[in-house]
Amino acid sequence: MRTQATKLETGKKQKIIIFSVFLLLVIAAILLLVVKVMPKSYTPPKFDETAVLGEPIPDAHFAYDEISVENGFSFFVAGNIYQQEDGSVYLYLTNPEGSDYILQGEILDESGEVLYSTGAIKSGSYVEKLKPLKEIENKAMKVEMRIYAFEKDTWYSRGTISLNNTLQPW
Amino acid sequence: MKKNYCLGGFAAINTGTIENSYSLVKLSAKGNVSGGFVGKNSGNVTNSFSHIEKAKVSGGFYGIDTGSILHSYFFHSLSENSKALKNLSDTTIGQRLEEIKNTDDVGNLGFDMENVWEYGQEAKPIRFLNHNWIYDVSQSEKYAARKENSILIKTAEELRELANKINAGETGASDAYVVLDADIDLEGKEWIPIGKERPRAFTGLFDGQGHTVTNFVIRDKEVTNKGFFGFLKGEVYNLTVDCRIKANQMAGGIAANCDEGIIGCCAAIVDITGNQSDFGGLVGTNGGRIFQSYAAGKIHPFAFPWLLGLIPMLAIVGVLVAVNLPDGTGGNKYAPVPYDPDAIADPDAEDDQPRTDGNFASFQFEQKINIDLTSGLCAFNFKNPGESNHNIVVQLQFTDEQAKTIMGSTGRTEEEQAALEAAEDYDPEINRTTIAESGSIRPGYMLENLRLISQPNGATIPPGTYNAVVYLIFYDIETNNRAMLDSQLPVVIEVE
Repeated sequence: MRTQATKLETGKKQKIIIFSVFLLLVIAAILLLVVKVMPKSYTPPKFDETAVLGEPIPDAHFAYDEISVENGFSFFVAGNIYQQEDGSVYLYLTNPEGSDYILQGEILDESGEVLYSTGAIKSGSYVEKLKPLKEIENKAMKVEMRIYAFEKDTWYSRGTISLNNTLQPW
Repeated sequence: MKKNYCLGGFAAINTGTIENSYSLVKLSAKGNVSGGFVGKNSGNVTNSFSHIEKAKVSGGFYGIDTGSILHSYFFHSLSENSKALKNLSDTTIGQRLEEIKNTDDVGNLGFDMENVWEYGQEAKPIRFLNHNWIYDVSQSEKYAARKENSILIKTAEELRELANKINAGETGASDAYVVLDADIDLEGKEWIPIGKERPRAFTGLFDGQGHTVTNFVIRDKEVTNKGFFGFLKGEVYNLTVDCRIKANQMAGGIAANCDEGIIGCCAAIVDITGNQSDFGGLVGTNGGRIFQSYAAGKIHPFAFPWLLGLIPMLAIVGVLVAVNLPDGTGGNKYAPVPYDPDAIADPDAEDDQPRTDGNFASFQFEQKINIDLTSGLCAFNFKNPGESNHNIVVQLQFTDEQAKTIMGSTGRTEEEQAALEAAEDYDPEINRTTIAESGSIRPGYMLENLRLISQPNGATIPPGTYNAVVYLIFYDIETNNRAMLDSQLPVVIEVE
């Protein structure tokens, strides 16, 4: 039996497509505006899943020692860093027991690109070994080790220490 | 002389006969002779109706009438005393929908509610009885002579081929008995009207058998008479069309011109756009006979005006993308210290810009600080100069030793103090108790007062004059990184 339709079907698909594109553009514009206008949100680093409680006992050739900043924070780290066959590196970055801060470490090449990074490390724990974030040439290269210190709870900065070093080949 | 273009929800111009038909077309074209059903009538119209939502027409049913209109009405929901209703040329045949409540109300208006129409609130207010809305083509005078040589159309290709033949002047096709045997989707493509020129009008018999030809557009500027049929001198029954038309002279969904033809039990659902043209929902001009047919959809002057909205939207997105996108995390390693809500812009530093040639921080403040215990405010008058490239957090501190002497305790809870004192390196002459603290103060901002901190154990500072330390912590304005060297300066505080 015939029915008496009243709604136009012609061009419905095109209309849906155009409307969807329009809607996407509106949403994109709103999102971009929100991101631009609203204060930039901050995401703290995740805690390092490979961090181990306690204090490591590295071999002497790693030159593992304490670095302390007056009225600041202190940490332990390997002075000699060697690239392993799989590209990883032993850093032994340690946030000592009783520290009031959270630490994070990065190793950057001369162009400032991050080669290795730890997650956030709580006091009384350490990260032994870091995996490379990219393929790294097996040769000696100048690097910068950066240690970031965060206030607990707020993630405000407590300062950053930069150490120049050389990443040795394996 | 300027021509008056005619618009009608059903027909632009009627010189023939229309009966038992209706229009639900929304008209939004101004400056023309327009009627909810027919623009200009000099023929006969009976038992028909239109429904209008807004009074954007000359007449609710007709624009100009020099013929005969009987038992025909326009239904509306306009207020009885509204100016919009009074301005219509045919107010007397207007019927408020709210007053049509049942079959009898419509029957009293002269509509045949037994054989043709049925009442329904959603139908605004009546529709054809569906089971009677089909015409038996064997009753047509044209049927007998053509029934043996019918053309059966089942596909879009066959339909286009038929149109091409008729438009090419093939009389066998233009005078044929055509039977549509399926719904046909023309896939949004351009349609060349059957009989696009008057000498090659369709003169045969077309039976749609209740099928619909849908999804076609007629935009070609070369075609001046736009509709499923351009010129119709034959008979069309039981056909529904669903299309978009960009009109430029004469247009109608079923036929641009129904010269002396017959249209019965047909429907046109249309979107017609254009200016300076004569167009109607079902037919442009009718000089023949139309019965039990309807038109729905809309007739408006512009196509997709909302599409224009894409242009500014694209521009906004383009500009925002061009102006560099943030990385979502703010890109900073450290969380920003919230700005002090009491800090205000320093008018003297309006034109200053943070220095980019290395770390730079300077500051100004009173060396003698008055503290009002009632308000908890420490008069400080601190300024972070506009050329500084660090945000500054200010603390007012006692050494723990001082705090114990002045306040009786460091202000910490017993547990906190015990834990601190248990540490090997605890020295009360070095460890500090913060008694007042600001939020982050941006370069070019000033803070008149610091606020005293409520100590966790409730300790307070008694009135008197004491030595204290102003401790300044610097944060890079770009990275939120705290400078490794803080500044501290001795001050005198006067507590009242």
